[in-house]
Amino acid sequence: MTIGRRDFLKVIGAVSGAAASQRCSPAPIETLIPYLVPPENIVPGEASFIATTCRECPAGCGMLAKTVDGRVIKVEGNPRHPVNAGALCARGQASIQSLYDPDRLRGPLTRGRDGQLRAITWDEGEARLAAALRDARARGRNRVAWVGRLETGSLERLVRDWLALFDSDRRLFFETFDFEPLRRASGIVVGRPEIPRYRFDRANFVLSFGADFLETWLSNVEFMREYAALRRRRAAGGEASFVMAAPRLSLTGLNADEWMPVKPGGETALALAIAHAIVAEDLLDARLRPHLPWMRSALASFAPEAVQSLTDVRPDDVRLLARQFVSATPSLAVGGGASARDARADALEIAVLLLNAVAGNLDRTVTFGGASALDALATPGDMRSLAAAMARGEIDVLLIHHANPAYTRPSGDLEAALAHVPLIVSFASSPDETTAHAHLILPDHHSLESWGDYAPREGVEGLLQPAMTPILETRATGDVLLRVARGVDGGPPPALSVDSCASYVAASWGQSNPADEGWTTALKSGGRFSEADEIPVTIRDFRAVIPSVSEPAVAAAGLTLIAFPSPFMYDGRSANCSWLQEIPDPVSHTVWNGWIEIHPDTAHRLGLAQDDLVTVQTAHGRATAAVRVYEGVRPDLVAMPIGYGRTAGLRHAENRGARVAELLPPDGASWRTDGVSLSRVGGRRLIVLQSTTEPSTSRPALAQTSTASAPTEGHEKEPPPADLYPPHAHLQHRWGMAIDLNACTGCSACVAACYSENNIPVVGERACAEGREMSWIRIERYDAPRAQRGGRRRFESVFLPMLCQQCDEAPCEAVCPVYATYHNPEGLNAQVYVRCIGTRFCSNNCPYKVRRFNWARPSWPAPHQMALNPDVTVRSAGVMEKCSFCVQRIHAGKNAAAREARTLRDGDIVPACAQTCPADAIVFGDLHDPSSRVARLAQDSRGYHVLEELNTRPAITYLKRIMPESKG
Amino acid sequence: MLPRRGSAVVICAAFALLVTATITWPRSGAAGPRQPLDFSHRAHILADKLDCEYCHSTARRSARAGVPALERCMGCHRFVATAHPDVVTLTRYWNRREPIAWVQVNVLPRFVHFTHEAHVRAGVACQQCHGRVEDMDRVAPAHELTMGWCLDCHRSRQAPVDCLTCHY
Amino acid sequence: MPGPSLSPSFQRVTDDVLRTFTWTRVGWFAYWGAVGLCGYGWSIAAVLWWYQMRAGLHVTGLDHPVMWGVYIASFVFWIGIAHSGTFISAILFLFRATWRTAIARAAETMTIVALMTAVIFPVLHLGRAWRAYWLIPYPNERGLWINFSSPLIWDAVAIATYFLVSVLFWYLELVPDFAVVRDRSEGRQRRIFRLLALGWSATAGEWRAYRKAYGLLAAVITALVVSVHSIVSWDFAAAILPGWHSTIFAPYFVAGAILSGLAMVLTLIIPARALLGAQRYITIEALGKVAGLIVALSLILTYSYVMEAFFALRGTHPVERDSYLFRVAGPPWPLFWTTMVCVSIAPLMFLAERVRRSLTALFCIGLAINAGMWIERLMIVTTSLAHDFDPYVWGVYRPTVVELAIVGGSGCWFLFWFLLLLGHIPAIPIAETKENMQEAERA
Repeated sequence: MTIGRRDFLKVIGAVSGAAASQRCSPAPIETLIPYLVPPENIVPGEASFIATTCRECPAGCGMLAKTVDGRVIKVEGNPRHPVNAGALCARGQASIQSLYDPDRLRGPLTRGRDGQLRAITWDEGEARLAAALRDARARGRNRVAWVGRLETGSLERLVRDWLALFDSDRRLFFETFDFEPLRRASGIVVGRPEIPRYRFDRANFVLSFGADFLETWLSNVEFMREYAALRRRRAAGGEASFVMAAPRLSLTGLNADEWMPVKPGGETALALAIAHAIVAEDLLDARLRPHLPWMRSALASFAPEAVQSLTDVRPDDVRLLARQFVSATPSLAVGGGASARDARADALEIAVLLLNAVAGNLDRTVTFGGASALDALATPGDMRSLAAAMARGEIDVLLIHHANPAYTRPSGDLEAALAHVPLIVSFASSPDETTAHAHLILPDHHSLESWGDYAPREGVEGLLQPAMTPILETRATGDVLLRVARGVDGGPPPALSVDSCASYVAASWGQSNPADEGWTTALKSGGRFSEADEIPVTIRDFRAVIPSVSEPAVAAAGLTLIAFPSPFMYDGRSANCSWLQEIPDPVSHTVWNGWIEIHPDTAHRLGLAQDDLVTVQTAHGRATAAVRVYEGVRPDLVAMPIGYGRTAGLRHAENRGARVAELLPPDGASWRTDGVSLSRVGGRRLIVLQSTTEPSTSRPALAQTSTASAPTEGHEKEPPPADLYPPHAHLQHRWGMAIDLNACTGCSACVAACYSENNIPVVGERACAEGREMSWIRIERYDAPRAQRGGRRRFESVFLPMLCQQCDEAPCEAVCPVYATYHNPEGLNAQVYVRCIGTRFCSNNCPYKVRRFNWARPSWPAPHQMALNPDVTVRSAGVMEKCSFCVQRIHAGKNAAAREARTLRDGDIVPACAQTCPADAIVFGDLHDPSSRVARLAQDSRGYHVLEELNTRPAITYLKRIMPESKG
Repeated sequence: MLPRRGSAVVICAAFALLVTATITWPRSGAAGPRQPLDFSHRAHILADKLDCEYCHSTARRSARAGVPALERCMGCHRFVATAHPDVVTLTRYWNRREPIAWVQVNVLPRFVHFTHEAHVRAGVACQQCHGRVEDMDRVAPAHELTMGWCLDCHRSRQAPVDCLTCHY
Repeated sequence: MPGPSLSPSFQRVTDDVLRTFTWTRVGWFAYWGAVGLCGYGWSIAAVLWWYQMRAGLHVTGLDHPVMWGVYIASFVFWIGIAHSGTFISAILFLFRATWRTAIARAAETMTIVALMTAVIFPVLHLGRAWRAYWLIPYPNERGLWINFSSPLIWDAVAIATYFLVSVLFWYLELVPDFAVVRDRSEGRQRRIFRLLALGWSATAGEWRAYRKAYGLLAAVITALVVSVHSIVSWDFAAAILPGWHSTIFAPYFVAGAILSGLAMVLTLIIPARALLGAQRYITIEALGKVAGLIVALSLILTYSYVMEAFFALRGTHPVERDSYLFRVAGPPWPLFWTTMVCVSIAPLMFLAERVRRSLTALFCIGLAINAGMWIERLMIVTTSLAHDFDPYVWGVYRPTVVELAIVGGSGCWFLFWFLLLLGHIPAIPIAETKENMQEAERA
């Protein structure tokens, strides 16, 4: 046979085509678009850090926004900020995701007759608002109401003056978790109605009555840092321990040394019983002697035996605790948290403050002065009266600014009342359950796009400055207010005659007079930071209020429901951050789902199994979610996380768990309710766990513990077994890491930081169920067998951050056929994505199983691709990836050193995980430099390597967690 | 019979030859891509004696050499050669406040992390990679920026050849 | 040109063997029908592979930590199958077991086709299959090389060698038979077989050379039979995974390979001899002998199973112990126990004379053993991965339809080529059969 010319050419064509496709697919035309006018001190391709403040929660941590070519690609803690000192929590790390939220409102909207939202121009929107306000003012006083997130400084003043312009002072700063009881209690006990400061780092013994101070209580990052200091003291041989008295074991509880499963609502009685024991045994602080008589009488009814029925804690346990609490001075008692929040929550705070007083902790671990911004929060009572006013039709214009009461408050009064308001204006930047009621939506910039300031407490004034130009058709609410004010007849008052919110803020920071350096330094350092001096207090005779707390809480039949804030969802505002959905909840290891926690016994009694869908029925409503069986809740309890069951059409938050507020009393002041019943609805909803198995006890746990007095053997330095290959010569550096399990609280901030830094794709619920999540670092938890002693439980949970160990004798390197992974001269297990062909042998041979394979092509919902880190390659489908010790930062560090013609210093290079760790549990550095922190820690007597017996010689040294001496 | 088999052999040989040719044919075209306006590097370097870093000012302190902002161009061309047709176009851009979208000439794949700064610091002349730009009117790629080509230079200068230097 | 006149019985042999070259109408349809069906089967699998490459491996049931599944299991399985042919022709030849002659040709063809099937899987399971050629050490301007310390490279080398030698061996044995066909055919067929026969003219000198070469190759390939599957076993034994990292793996895999190979011989030959009407040459006795061998090998395998259990349970490493118990009593227990039944127990039935002489029994048990061996490989690959050092990444593995379909397709691919080849060559070594007859006459 012969080949015709045509066929011949065809074949050639095919072949050359194939040949071409062998090369990288023909690149699209790349264009270089320069600036018109280059902004000063911004170098193209170089990152610049802009100091601002995190507004994800009222803690007000300082933040540095890393921007490259005018877009924010990562946020990090501001090291100069006294609250968080450079660290951020997982929510703070994920705040960049709320900036690039694919569901953000793109411009002003109005609700038509048909109830549908349609886009309008800003002028129309503002005109409509102005008109409505004019009428409202005409109709009388206080017909305009403002419900907004907590603001201080400029915007606080701006809103006040602006409302005054419309002859109203109805301004409520609404946060889901208000700390009113704290304020009220201090008012009663020491006569200063303010939230005190708690100094965990000064305490030798912490006793928490349900206060989740490592998660959502007041200021988690700050407290985590201080708590780590407390634990370190124990490692140094000092006495320091932490007892958690709460019906449910939260993440904070898992970090406690002992758990007292107190009856829900019994916290107050327990606190008073301890106080009683202290007084009875005459152990109380000398300064309180004069108060002894009335205290005796007031506390008389709280003998441990008397209240045992309320607390479910054995009297001798109470006495032991009392002795420990006073002996280990200064100690610290904190109380509150959602589970203890009910109509009589003040009583608990009074009792706790009393306890601190009798133990002599006032002015030592509990200090006053430096009022907290939270003091300004609206109380549930305020919200109720506003709702009432709305219902009576006294409100013409309701302005809602970054608050979502329709979701976070229990159903009932508010929704009903909203119907009576002619105009509801929302400034929300992304849709929520409250915008669903709004008639006019004027979306605000994201806090990373706007000017402002926020002072979490007196003296600490954080500045907000835009880290990038707004990406959507949004407008700063401050500007909207000013423009509307300009429109009023008679013109704006001098205070409001400013052209923009930006200059309003600048003016209030004293930009106007050049003599004042405040402004320029604030721009650089992210604010003005000083500490207000502490004001000594003395307790007053408050016997009058004690009886009021004495009447027993009558527990109704059936189970008790408590709602607890999820450390990731907070009150639900973070629900659309896909990182927070995909990172397993530190306590339940749940991803992409809300759940209902019940004790194994309860589950057995009711014939329920893990993942069963059940309906929770309370006096106030019903909700359906899947069951999570957990030993950390009391058998008479049903616990549900707050923040799930969002219904605002947010793509990541939709159809996940149930909205617990529906089940709670409508007063909005209580996160607990009795008389709860569970019923199976049939069907199961897979609660996706990242770990498909509960930690096993059949073998030594990978996370090791020790006690301060234990013989400090350290990890054995025996000569390594003979090796066919010569040892690696790390000529210049040998990068290593030390992770202190004693400090790690399992908060998972490092995981979020890693997602952000290394462009790790989010795979979604289904893929997680198939075990295909991509995180480079995971937090493992090992619960040692629990030694029960009376009512007190030893709960030895240890958190183990597991990431690539960068082994010297790496099993993964030997088996890669194409050298896609190999040992680099500085001791890194390099992973070269372009060389990888995906045999996956490396992962099979990795005993730590920290390698991740790209099962599918990763994708980012627009505009999230803007958040991708340009210094890290985006991996394609079919290649392996893993922790690189943030090699891009190693390069950056070396480059910076070379630029200044100097050698690298210890601390020049900080990986994302170490950078954000609030407990400073992760230390990175050069093991070759004997003076480096990591080198010293690697020699620490607590140090050990995970799976050392395999002789992989990891570069990561773990420092054992120090458990309290098991005495008595 | 024999001649037939012979012809078969000939065809196969020709076929093989053509395949190899199509795969290994040099790709680098003579002139570079057409730009929004005919900027001549030759004119600016030889005639005006401008230094590369006068316009590509960040080469020494950033990963990117940087394309000059329009303002930089106008700095001179407000006064210089204002009548020149291309300068007129330039001014028009400026007046429209519209940046010029230059077509990138030397493109590296996304998985390569190249930094100008380090190379300038190491005293590598621009021409080493970009060719004699001073002789080009419309700039064309001087080398196919292949890994082997990079490695040759790195080896000869004892620069790191660790994969992680560029691929991470 | 007609050869020297043959004695009638010899004539008969040639006729019988070459019957396939002159099909009956029914036979022709049956044959091409089967071939077409298999072709259809594997082309579907091919399309699925394309889909898998486009979509990414998430269409498979593989996950973290179980990153190898049915693909690798099938790879090992097919390599195993490939061992019988050489075993039968080479080792039994060296032991002068004349009964092997009748089945040798089929077995060797099976070897080659099995290898053609096996090599697909390592490529198929890659994350980026289109980069598979990077496994070949070729000089390139990037100065990149391959890692010879990786067992996967050892694999590539071992299998390539084995394939080459097997083909040589197979072809060498065919040369005289091709000559016979050439002499008895004309037209295009004659032209083709003239090329294939390499001008063989059956002179005494040629025969002497032939014998020498044949013996030599037989010796070489005998070594390979041992080496190849040992190396394949090191894909696992060289890893540190509990359940993989074991010194017993090499002999254990080789035994398993030969066992599965012999079983496959039974499952294929029994239908084939009916199809080819070669009952006279492929006798029940021969098949019975194969069955005997199977018993021996199955006993060796059982021994290694016992050893495995012994090391795991009496050893000191808790992880080793855990993962063994997981394999035996954990969720994947059906895999383990099916293997036990099919591989350790079923073959023992061959101890009974009656069973050895019943075609159905031979066929069914052979089939069972093959199934058992495939499941055994699946068990070894997946259960070890699913349950290793870190409790937090224990996992499960459920193959998807795509995976299973592709594996099934590989079976079609195997049969497709097996039938195609066996249908176009003398299915029974003519020359050697005649030889044996002569020897028989002499005796």
